[in-house]
Amino acid sequence: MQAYSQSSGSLFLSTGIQDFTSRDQGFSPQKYSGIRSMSTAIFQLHKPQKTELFQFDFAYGPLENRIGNSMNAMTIGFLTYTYYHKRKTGEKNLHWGWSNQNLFNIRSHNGFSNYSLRYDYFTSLGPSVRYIMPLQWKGQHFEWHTLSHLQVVGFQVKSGYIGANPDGYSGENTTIGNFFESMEPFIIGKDWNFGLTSSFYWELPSENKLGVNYRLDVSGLQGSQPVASFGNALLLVLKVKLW
Amino acid sequence: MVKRIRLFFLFLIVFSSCEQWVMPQDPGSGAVEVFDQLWEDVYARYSFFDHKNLDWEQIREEYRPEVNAEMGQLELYELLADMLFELRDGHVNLSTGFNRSRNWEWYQEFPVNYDENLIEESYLGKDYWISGPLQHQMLDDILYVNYRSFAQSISESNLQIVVERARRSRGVIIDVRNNGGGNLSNASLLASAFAEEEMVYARQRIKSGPGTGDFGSWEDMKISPREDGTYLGPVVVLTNRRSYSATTFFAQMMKVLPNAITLGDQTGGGGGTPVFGELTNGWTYRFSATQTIDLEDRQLEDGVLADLRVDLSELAVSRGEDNLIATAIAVIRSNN
Repeated sequence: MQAYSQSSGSLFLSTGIQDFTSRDQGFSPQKYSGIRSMSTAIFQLHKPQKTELFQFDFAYGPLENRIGNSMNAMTIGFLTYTYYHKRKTGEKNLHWGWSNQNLFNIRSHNGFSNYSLRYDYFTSLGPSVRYIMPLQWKGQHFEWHTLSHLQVVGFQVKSGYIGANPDGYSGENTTIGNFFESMEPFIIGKDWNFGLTSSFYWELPSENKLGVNYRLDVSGLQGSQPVASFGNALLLVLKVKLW
Repeated sequence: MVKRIRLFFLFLIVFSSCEQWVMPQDPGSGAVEVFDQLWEDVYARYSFFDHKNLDWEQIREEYRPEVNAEMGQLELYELLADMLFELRDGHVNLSTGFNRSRNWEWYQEFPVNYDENLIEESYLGKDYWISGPLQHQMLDDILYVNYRSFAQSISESNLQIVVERARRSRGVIIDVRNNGGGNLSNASLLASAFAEEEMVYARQRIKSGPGTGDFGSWEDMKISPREDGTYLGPVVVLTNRRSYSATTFFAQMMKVLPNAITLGDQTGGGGGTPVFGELTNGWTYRFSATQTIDLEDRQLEDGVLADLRVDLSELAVSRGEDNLIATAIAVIRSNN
């Protein structure tokens, strides 16, 4: 009971648009860009010396290259953050911790009759840092949150040299066998995933918060057909205090 | 606080502008760059260099000196089309909006062995059945089925009608002459109506790296019996050189069935599944990226040989007869 009362839970719901650019060498050496819709749900569990965030992301939309060919690109992500901090809160603070990124991208090319579907997935671990700065202006309470993560090590599975199936995939293997045959390491330097999120919140009388969120996501996976993506998103956020 | 906000915005500007670092600009769209893009992609992903004994580097040496920055779009198209023609592959095209390059030598240099007017006048007649893309007619007690393009989808109900009519016949002739292919799933569906059990009919492998011999492992290609019913009586499949791509696969599927034979000329080939690509000047292209072999390790790219080799006789045509169909009828009757 004591542990429960010392913790707090919040839900962040956000939706907005993302300016997204992707290049999958398995499709083309050309970049595909477009504005996608993006939504995010984050559950935050705040404890006296530790804060955990569980973030679910979804983005979908059409992308186009400079010659007018198009594809549809969908991203599903699950990202966790764990930050360690001192007991006292309510003042500006820099918190260090770690993060676990799970990102799945799938692309469907609209101009190719065969091999028009490609995807990539990786899961990785890396350090994370956040900065929280409460502000007051004309009796109103505001808060500025910025956090970032850099993925260091993990593993990845992505479409093969030609088709959607990863290299190493065989119809004669079991699902688990195929998973291990297709798996490659994710190692910083060769592969990249970096994210930065900055939010500005206004506290409502109900203790909930409204905010705007800017988000930057950068990814690059090497291999026989490298894949890279770059996204800038602007989201509206509602923070609901659960307990 | 102001210092930290300034620092944050400095980081934000730096990170936001790192797009160029993560994703450099697209390659140029000049004639030289476009030539190099196409040549390199074909070299990296085309699947038949070794099988056709083609030296792509030698071909580059032949064509590359003719490219220059001042050449017009039409000149560049013709040069690239000529270069791709060297692949001797019907699955290779360069599409520009004003023209589409191709190599149709796989049928142009061979007997036609098919007369569509003759089929309509002497065999389909005026009261043939149309079940989706399948045109069928009873020739006395034998069902004749004509399928002109595997690009036209067959539904389960289309196929059910054909199976039911086949069950009331002594045998089935499936005419896929001049069928240039289409969707492999239509070929598998049609073949499933005549299969008694699951069978491996071919093996396929896909390019897995830039080396001309870099391929994944051979994977079995199978046909399975149709769940809603099959016809297991004698079947003769008529093929010619214009039976290409998915039609070549269909001929191979039928060839392995114990109750079916192929008759006519060999198919035109098209055993490599094409992969697509795009050039920075807006043109698109495709070429084969897989290899498929039959159960005797023969490349389907070279066509599926007919079990019974028969050419269309001009004499037979002059008396209003397709001697391939006549031979097929005789084969079916001899089996009963």
